[in-house]
Amino acid sequence: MIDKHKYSDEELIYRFQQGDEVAYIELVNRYRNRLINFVYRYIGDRNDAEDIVQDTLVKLYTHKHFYRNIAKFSTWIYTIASNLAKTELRKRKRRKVTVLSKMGGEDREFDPASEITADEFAEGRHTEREIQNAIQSLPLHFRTAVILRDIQELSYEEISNILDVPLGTVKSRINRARLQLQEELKHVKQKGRKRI
Amino acid sequence: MNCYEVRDIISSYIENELSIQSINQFDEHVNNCKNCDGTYLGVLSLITTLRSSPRITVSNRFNSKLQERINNVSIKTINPISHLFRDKLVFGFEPKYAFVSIIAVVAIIFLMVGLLPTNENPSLETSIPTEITPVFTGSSSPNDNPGMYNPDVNLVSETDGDSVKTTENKKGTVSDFEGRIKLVKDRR
Repeated sequence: MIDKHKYSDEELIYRFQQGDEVAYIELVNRYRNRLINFVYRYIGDRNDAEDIVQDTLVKLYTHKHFYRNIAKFSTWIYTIASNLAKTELRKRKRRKVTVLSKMGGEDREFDPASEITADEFAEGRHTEREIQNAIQSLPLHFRTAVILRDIQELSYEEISNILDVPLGTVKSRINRARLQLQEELKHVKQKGRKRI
Repeated sequence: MNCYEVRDIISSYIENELSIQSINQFDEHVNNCKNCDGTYLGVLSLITTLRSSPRITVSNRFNSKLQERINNVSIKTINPISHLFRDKLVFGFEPKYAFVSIIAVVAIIFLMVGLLPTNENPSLETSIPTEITPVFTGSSSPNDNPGMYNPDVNLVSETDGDSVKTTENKKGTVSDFEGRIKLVKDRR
């Protein structure tokens, strides 16, 4: 059994490359929820997000030898997920499928939902939907950068490696994305204040 | 510092990446500009909201589905040659580019060698006439200096009528010959 805190991601992928499948399971456990949050924010559909995360983790299994120990494992896995999500968006564009908001379905699983009242829950979901819509309205390169920074809480260096753009560009994109989101969500906050 | 400059560095200000001088300038502007103050507070609040937004988790069926997919998928076999050159450079290039370049250079060399004229070319051999009637020009006869090379001597095939060049040579030789006879006559 692998001690969760004993090994870093890079050590785990090394062990997996040597044939240790338990290391793979540990990597899946570490990254499945992080990845689904990233992909879900990126493409806006939970089921598709889950499929993309599955694809990412299958790719990790089949292409384990493609990881080189020159970058962080998280950078590598996020790059795979990001590329697959981009491909999915491109496919959608080609099919010209209008994806209606499927948020708020019965199968949504929020971590902190058990102890809040119905009103608070409804308000939270409303705000959540507004945030998701605002994120979806961002151009792709702004969207990826702001999700990785403010939701995934990655460092600027990691984001720079994942997006393969200079550090300055990452900072500029994040700043502009935040300004645009702030403009989009201004009215939501104002509504919230009026209620209070 | 104006409003545009303040908007450009709001994130850097929030993440403590500015110099003390820039921080002072930022504070000074924001304290006197309601618009920029509102934007700054809005961005600050947005970051907090995003960082505390509810996280979704994978469905219960996720692991079993993944297991099923992994069982079905065939593990991609690694090409031993490409694996051998992994992380290595050949002549300062990535292996695939280096090999393509080498193949291209070799192909060019072969082409150039193939295009060079050679004496062993069978097509030339067939074009050489079997019977050659030498046409000697100038004052010296072929019997005077049989072993010496005479640049004025034109060997023109009478049997070869296919080549345009040869015909032109013939005409040129005849006219030269006539001209030279005239010169000899004039001298006499």
